[in-house]
Amino acid sequence: MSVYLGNAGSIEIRRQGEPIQVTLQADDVNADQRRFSVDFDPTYDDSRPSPLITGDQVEFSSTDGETDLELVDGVTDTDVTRWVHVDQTGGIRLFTSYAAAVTGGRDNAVELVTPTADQEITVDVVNANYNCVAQMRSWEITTQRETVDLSILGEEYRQFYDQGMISGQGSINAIWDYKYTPCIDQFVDDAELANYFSQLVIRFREGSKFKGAFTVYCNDNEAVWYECDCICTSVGMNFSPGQVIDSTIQFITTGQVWLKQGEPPSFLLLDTDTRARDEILLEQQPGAIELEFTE
Amino acid sequence: MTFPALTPSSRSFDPGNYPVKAYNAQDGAEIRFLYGDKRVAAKLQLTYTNITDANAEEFIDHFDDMNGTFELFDLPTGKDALGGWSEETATLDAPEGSKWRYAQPPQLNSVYPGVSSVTVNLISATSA
Amino acid sequence: MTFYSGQNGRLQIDGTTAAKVTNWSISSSMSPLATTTLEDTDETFVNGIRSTTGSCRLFYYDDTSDTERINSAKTLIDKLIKVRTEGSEPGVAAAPEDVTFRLQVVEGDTTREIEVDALITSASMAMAVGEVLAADIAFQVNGAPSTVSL
Repeated sequence: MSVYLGNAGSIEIRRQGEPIQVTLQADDVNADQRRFSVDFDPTYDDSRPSPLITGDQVEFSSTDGETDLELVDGVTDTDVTRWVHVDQTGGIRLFTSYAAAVTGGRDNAVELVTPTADQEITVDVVNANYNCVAQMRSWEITTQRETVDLSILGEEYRQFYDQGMISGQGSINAIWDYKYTPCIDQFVDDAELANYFSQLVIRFREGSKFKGAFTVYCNDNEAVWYECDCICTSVGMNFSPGQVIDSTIQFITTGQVWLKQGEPPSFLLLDTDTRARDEILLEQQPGAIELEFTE
Repeated sequence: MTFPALTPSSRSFDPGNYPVKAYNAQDGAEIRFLYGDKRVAAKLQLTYTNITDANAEEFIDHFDDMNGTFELFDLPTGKDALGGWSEETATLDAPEGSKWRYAQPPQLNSVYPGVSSVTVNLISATSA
Repeated sequence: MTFYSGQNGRLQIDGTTAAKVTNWSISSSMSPLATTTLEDTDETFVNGIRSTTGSCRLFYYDDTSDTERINSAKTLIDKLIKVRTEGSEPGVAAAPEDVTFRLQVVEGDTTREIEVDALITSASMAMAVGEVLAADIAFQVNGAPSTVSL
């Protein structure tokens, strides 16, 4: 009989969001600074934080689907997908990798072009990759099934309906961090930050939804993991002198919950020069091919 | 046949008035003339709720005996019709020198098999 | 001394044992007639009219395992809710049907029951997330019970 320890457990999350239609004004694009901004709430007088969070992989596309998007230098297409870095004033820079987006800075940012006119665009968070949650102390997930009493007159034992609704909830306890820290296990080296959840729980419009892969056990050959859409419901931080800052994230599942076993899916990253005029376009959004290993 | 000796569920009594005629002058002054020394036109309403049909029939039979509103009669000497009054029964009875007659036919309502409610209206009168 | 609980309960509808009944109830009341007179110090009464009502709750359960399909909730609902006689005439439908209930307490071979002829006064169903579909039936007993053997 094997006994499994919690050392092999981990969580990977994939950011999710809802598409937003906005107007990209030509004057809001600063090609020299490689920076632009978008007013996500033109009818709202007071300022609001951006619905995009640093590290999101975002697709910018023209709303009509036919007009070429004038934003990224070297790209002539109706849409473009990059990682974003959002600064404290809501300004956006685009990057070619998650790690670069989290780090930020002008020099590594994608070069922009000044549009000739205002454009109606759709902004959608379309992350393809799972990122492991770094510096995690512990996590738990609970799945439960509602029961409906079917007991009737004449019976001696209670009967319950066996197809009640399924729901789940859980919590993550991680050391708080807001800078990029690689995961130190065998997963990909893109790591999520505990601070992402702090931003997620207060994000409006896009909502606080994320897709989670909760690995119960993993070795070189196989893994056992839960996979589900989740909604971050609360984030708590614990401050004590001389102690690390603990971040406790509560979440609930929404929709179907899978418990999978076997080889976890991997992704084939395309080795392409993103500054080239012709990008290799995939028919399948949002820009990566998912592989599944079979026996 | 005498008036049914039953105690009512409720009772309403109007003692009547002395025969007084009042005249009013144009300046508002009032002159009254007293034409008798006894009260007239006292009224008595008796309600019998949820009594047996046999008891309710006694009122109809007595009304027939009195030829309706024509003849005069006395209430039974016992307390029955005036039961529940703790003072002198003569206070609620017909004024001295007068007797009772039916002011209108008794009203009978049947509410349940064998159970009825009766309302009787009496008015005092003197023989000429 | 024996107590009885839900496992002893049964309900028959028009002579057929109903399927998937979760509860039944029956209530009889009488409106007394006041006979208080002016000499009385306390109210007195005689018996008045009796009225009996009841209710039951059944799961909407479609049983096709036997040759005869049983859906007792549908049976009762169909007694009250009727479809239009003619599609173009919205105000005309068949009259509601009466039903005979036997409200039983069964223990072994012994059956204690109240049998009544009843008019269905309400039938309600609600579909909600996380709940099993059930029908709540209320009825008014017509006259006195046919059998009372408790």
